[in-house]
Amino acid sequence: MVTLHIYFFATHREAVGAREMTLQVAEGTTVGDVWEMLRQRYPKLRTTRPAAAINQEYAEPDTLVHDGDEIAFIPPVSGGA
Amino acid sequence: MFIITDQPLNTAEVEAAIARPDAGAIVTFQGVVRDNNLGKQVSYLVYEAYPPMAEKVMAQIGDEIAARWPGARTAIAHRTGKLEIGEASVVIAVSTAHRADAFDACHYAIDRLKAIVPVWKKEVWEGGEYWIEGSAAASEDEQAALDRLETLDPGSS
Repeated sequence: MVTLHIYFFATHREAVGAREMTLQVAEGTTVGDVWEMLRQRYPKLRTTRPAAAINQEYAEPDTLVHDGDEIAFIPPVSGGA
Repeated sequence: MFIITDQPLNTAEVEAAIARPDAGAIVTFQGVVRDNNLGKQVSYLVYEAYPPMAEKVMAQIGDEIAARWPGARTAIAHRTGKLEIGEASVVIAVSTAHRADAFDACHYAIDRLKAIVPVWKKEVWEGGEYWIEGSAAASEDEQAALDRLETLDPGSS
């Protein structure tokens, strides 16, 4: 198994009711798969797949996750002014 | 300096981070909280960030600027938490040898920040609140900035 540390922000954080969680997934799981699992568990999450980051770098949905990875799902950003 | 902080921003500190003897120009941008948006009266804003990644991505923007405008130095500070009307949410300072590059690079920095830095803004008004997601204006601004860059030669000044 692969243990992931997952972070949620803004609308995602409110939909999940937590800022972070630990999740165990099977070897060979992609970051896009992780999003789909979370969508099943938390139906209030957005239906369109957001950007994702692995270990604080933007990652494509088909990127494999590894044990200990820090995963973040990034709602469309709105910083600045 | 590329920081996310929940403290009020200090423009002088951000500028001091990029001052150097061979700079002929420093351009500083402050984004401040406006009292209205899309016709609604805004009470205050709440900014949330993914701080370690946001700081990395801001540093990446600094690298992009140094690549486009050789010698340019960039510092960015973004605030999180509750911000009242008139308070600065972001301060960007860029130093270059000559003024035209400093203006262009600073404009590029805020457009890129709005497009890729993991920070989110919640608008709170009388009787409601709403997380802003993305910004059409930001992408238009970014495209305009990129179009403008096409006509510039970053190396000359």
